[in-house]
Amino acid sequence: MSNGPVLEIADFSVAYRTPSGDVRAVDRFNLSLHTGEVVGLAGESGSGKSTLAYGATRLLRPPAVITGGSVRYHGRRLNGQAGPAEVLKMRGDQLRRLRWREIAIVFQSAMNALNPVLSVREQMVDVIHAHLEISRADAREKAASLLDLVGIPRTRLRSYPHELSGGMRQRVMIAMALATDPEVVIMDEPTTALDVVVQRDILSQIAELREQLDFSILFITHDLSLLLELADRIAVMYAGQLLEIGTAAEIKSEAAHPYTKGLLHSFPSLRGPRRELAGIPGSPPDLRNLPPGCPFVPRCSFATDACKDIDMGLKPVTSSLDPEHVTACPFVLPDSAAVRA
Amino acid sequence: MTTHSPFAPDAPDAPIAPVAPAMEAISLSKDFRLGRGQTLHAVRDVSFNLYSGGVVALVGESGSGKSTAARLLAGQERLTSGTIKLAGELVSVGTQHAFRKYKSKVQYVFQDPFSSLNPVHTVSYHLERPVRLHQKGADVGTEINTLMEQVRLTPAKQFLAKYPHELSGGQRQRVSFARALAARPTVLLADEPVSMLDVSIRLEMLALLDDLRKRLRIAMLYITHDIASARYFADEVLVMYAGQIVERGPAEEITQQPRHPYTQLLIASAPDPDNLGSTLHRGSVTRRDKPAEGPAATGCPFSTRCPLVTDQCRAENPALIPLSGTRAAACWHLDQTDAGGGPQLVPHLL
Repeated sequence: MSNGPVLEIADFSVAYRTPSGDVRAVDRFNLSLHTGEVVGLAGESGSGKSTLAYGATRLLRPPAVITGGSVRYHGRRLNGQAGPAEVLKMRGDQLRRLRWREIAIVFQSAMNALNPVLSVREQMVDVIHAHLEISRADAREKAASLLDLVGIPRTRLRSYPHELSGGMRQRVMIAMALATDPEVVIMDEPTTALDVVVQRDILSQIAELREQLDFSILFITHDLSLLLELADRIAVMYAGQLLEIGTAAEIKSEAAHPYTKGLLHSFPSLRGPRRELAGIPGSPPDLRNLPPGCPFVPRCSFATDACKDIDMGLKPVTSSLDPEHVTACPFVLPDSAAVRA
Repeated sequence: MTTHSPFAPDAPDAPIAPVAPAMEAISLSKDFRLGRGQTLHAVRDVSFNLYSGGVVALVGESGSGKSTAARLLAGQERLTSGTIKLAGELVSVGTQHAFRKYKSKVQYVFQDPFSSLNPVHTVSYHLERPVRLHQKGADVGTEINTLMEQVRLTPAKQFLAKYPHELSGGQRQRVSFARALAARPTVLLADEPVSMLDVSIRLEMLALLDDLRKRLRIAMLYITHDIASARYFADEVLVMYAGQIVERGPAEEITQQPRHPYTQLLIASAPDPDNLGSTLHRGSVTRRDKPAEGPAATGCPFSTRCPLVTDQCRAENPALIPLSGTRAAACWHLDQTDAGGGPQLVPHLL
């Protein structure tokens, strides 16, 4: 992907204001998404991955506050103006033009994100009508062609969400996100509630649509095994901070951060010989009360006193030939074979 | 990450030994009336045995009837036909008293630790009640401490006064396990016990269940749609589709040499991190003309999706055909599905 960035998130921080002080849900986050690229964002629940996605599109409500950084959007359609648009400085009407038209989101739970009292057609037409200047009749035709795109029969336009299976609902969500031909689609755990066969179906659908329509994807999930297959690059997030970014191949074979290595050893494999598995002991930290330095220290089997003084900046992995492969862990660790022993 | 290695890499599959089963399910069937004269056959002629200290995995997609089968075993649904035996004796849960007695032997763990605990009660309340109910005369305090140790929520004091919202997902599921163990069951029915948890936590939970079944000699039914976890955790795997068992056998054999086309589809669908840049990458996606169809009403239920389908499949539902002493599959075309090491039908299935 030698194309330029379409979305650049830099030094981005979000805090939740509470009576007992700020909870730093996203802390100095840096990630850019290039045109046509699939970037996977992996992290456990509570690591701040959804907060990041909603923060970058200005969808958060108080007590969440964006405390710093910038989100620059370089859309092809915005070329009329000089340079990229700064999302964090946009006014209400500019934001309305940005959302859905430029950056669309597929929300986590299709069951809750679809309106139960409106038919599929009504909610799709609503979206298209609100964001594109076309007539209701054209919007209806577009809704039907969108269902074709995601492989749902047109007769389903009249169905209500409860009449659809989980997989179909998720497809409707994807069709709605693509309704306005956005350049960036953020997918927040789009397949988590589905079983593997349906999940595989939806993922191939997403891959196919991306080839047809050429949008960029930020794919958020807690399942690293999925990202290894789907994503071009993978970013690993923990306690609101980035721990590692690299191509899928680099993450798979040259993971540098102990947390990434831990994730790689926590899913059972189906193929090949049985390998020894080890989970990550302990549980995610309390964001109100983070340890100094690296937040992974309490669960890390390589932690030393020096880990409390590191600044969590991302630096190139010395053992890797790829300068884009960066990690927050400044220490060179034994390779994964030794880790397992 | 050298903490603990829950499942030894080359542990032989536990022999399906000639010992008496802890629980026998014999030809279980369950029909639901849908109205307008329609009937849904949720479970069709399902038989299996659970052994003390062994794990049987029931694998299938949503709607395949795996949860209904577990609910039948738990006595929560009335059987349409079939029998259940517990330690060799015929089970009857007709009266309140008999049902309670049965419950103290057979316990159920729910999928969602967020909704299966009562948000207005503390951890100790959740454990106290089953202890008082199922173990009359026991010292409640000591018993609760033992339970908390068994699920490794220690020090117990730190957790007992907490409410569910103060616990992480993994801790909540541990409380669910402790609650099920409070009755000192001989059989544990675990319905997707880890699917709501983060991937990094799942392994620890399965390791805990593995430890419990070995230490307490509990017979376990593990329900999941994740066949990869069944490979590591279960001794025997039963694959369900549309209410019936389509393939069964030792976990390692089923996952490495699946014979039924549906099992092959399940395995091909699981995310495969060893297969970087596979089907999902640019340029290699094949166009699917129509969404997957539901199970067929007559004949083999998988005939609507199967690449090997013939007229015989559409007309007649195949029975389980033994492949070896421990394996069986229900398919008319088993002669064509022997891939000798890997699924061969996959390109046609996906």
